[in-house]
Amino acid sequence: MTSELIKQRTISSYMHTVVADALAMPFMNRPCKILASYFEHSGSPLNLTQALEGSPGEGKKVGSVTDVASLGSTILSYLLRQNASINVAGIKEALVLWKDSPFTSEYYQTYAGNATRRGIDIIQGAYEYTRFDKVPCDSRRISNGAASRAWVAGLMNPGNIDQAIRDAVTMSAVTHRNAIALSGAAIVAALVSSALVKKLTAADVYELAVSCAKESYKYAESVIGITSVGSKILPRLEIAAEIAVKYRHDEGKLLRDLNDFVGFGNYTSEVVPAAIGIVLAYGQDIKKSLSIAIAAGNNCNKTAAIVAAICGADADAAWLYDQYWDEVCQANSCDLRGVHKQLMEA
Amino acid sequence: MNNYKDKILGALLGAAVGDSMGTISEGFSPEFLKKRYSGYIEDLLDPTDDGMTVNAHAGMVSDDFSVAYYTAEVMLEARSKITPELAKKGLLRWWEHPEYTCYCGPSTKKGIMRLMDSAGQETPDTELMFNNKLVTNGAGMKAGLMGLFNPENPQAAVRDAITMCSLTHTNPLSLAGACAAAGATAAAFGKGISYLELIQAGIACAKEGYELTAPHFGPLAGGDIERRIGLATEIGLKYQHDFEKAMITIADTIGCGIYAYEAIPAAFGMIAATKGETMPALIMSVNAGSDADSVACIIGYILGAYRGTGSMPDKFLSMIDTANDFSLEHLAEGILKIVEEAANDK
Repeated sequence: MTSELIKQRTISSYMHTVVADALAMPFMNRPCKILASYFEHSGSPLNLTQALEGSPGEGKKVGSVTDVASLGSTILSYLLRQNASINVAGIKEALVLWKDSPFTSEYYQTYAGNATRRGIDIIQGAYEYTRFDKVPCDSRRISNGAASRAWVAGLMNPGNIDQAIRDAVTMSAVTHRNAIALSGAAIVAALVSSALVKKLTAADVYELAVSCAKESYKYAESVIGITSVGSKILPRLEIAAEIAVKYRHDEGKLLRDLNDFVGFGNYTSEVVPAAIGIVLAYGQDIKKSLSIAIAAGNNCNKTAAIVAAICGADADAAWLYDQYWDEVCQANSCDLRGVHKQLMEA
Repeated sequence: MNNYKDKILGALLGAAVGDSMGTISEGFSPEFLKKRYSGYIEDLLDPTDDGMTVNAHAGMVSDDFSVAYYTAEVMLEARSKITPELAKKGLLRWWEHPEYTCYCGPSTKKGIMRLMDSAGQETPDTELMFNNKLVTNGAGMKAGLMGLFNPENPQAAVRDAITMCSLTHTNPLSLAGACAAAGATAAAFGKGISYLELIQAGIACAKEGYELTAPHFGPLAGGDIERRIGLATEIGLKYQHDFEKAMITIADTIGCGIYAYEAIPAAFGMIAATKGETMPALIMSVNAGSDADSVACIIGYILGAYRGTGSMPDKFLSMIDTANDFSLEHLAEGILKIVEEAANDK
């Protein structure tokens, strides 16, 4: 594959991720059962719309993104500007910039999860340690924030899966010192990295995800030095794959079983395997896979972004340019167009 | 009803022992625990100072059992089965005991604040309409008590569990978990019932609990309790021959975390894995770590009622009573009286 084509695929992956976040934002937190009847009456999930009542993004502009695209873009932009590879100091500066910049602080205030807030507080010396911080195992940073922005590590390392994994762990350990969360981030980065240089089959996706789940967990544990507590990604990945094979011709049942057995909640062991389940079943059709990820509700912005980052590399971006990209860029105070330009010039 | 007293006392003791043993291992990983204790925790131990416990010592329970203890106490004083008023009174009495309320989870705390507010002015709920972080197991951990007031009558236990738990857990998933625990405990009083029938009762009651509460409470997103109990049971049955494998597979696949759709299915999976034997199931849940005290407490109610006091070491009763200034025997006699009076009224 030529470097020009890899660049095109990188940009396509990025744009799809941003738009997927904006498309999913209105439906965050809703249970998929409720959304099923909502979409029955209001049509496809692939329409930019107002956030539903009571959801975190209520009152935001149509096309607004969440922490997923705003923080990921801030990190990506910062690293590209510095012409740097992923490094701890750079990630820390980008995190603080995201929190404090007038262009992005609203995303921090509205969407940042506990682990990310805690990580930034530690960087800024504002964190008050409690007795729970003495517990020599971690059960509190198992959340999916790291995995939801690990596509950045994939985009920075096209075709270099090992480096993408290492970078995902480096990048994510600043906020999520939990091997389960880091392993989830590594899997996403590895899949995106691989998707940038080749057309992935379902078998490719499954094999890479499984091998990465095994290897990256051990690697992450060795990096952070503490054991992690909670449900693991590998067994849930196997369940998600079984469901994907069983229901690759039935979107409704695929969504139901992924929700019931794997989950779309805030644990990394939910969203990452569930997103991969969607990719396994419908990854060749980005519109369909994104529709399913959005209709999942709950942490659908994260599910959709992961699906889009992987599938978007190989997708024709025309429908995005035509329908959504401009509107999304206009709706957001974070500089999405600027990141796009940086990627073009990289 | 001759053997009811031993079953009621067995359930109270099992729940208290499970809670107390689990308090030692809560927040740790199974691998870490095995290394620290050079094997499995099998006794009531003093907690270490780097865990989740606060000023506790061997035999002390946490919120899991104590909230039910004080609820039972007010029910005995009123010589009545549960009513919304007694459920409220029980919670508020528990709230007077800081040695236990220091463990209070988010849903219970929110519920108590709401109850205390209702004495004065209602405050508007400014939280998200779909706060999925409230799908916790705090209802399931205490609901086994309602099985003791309704021996051999799972349907009545389901209704009472909803009455008891809906003050704090206003979502159908948490309440379905509570109904599973209460229903299985009630079923455990049946003559000649098998441990698989106990699990079936739990599954049926989870379904009934969900159906009864879904029309009244706003649904929240999360995994399906009924179906996950089924999956956990499959795993438990598959690894009945291998204690360690069963424990790790349930912990990794189902999870033993704070969400109702992890802790409650995990408890049933462990009952299946140990063929419904009280101490092996308690030991499995305790050594699985994570939210071990809740999982073990749920198991303790069900299997304590199923197997009676003889299924646990003799010394445990006096250790629990002394450490907490409880009299479980007195409580069991009082519960039996209410059960007998209710039967006579019919």
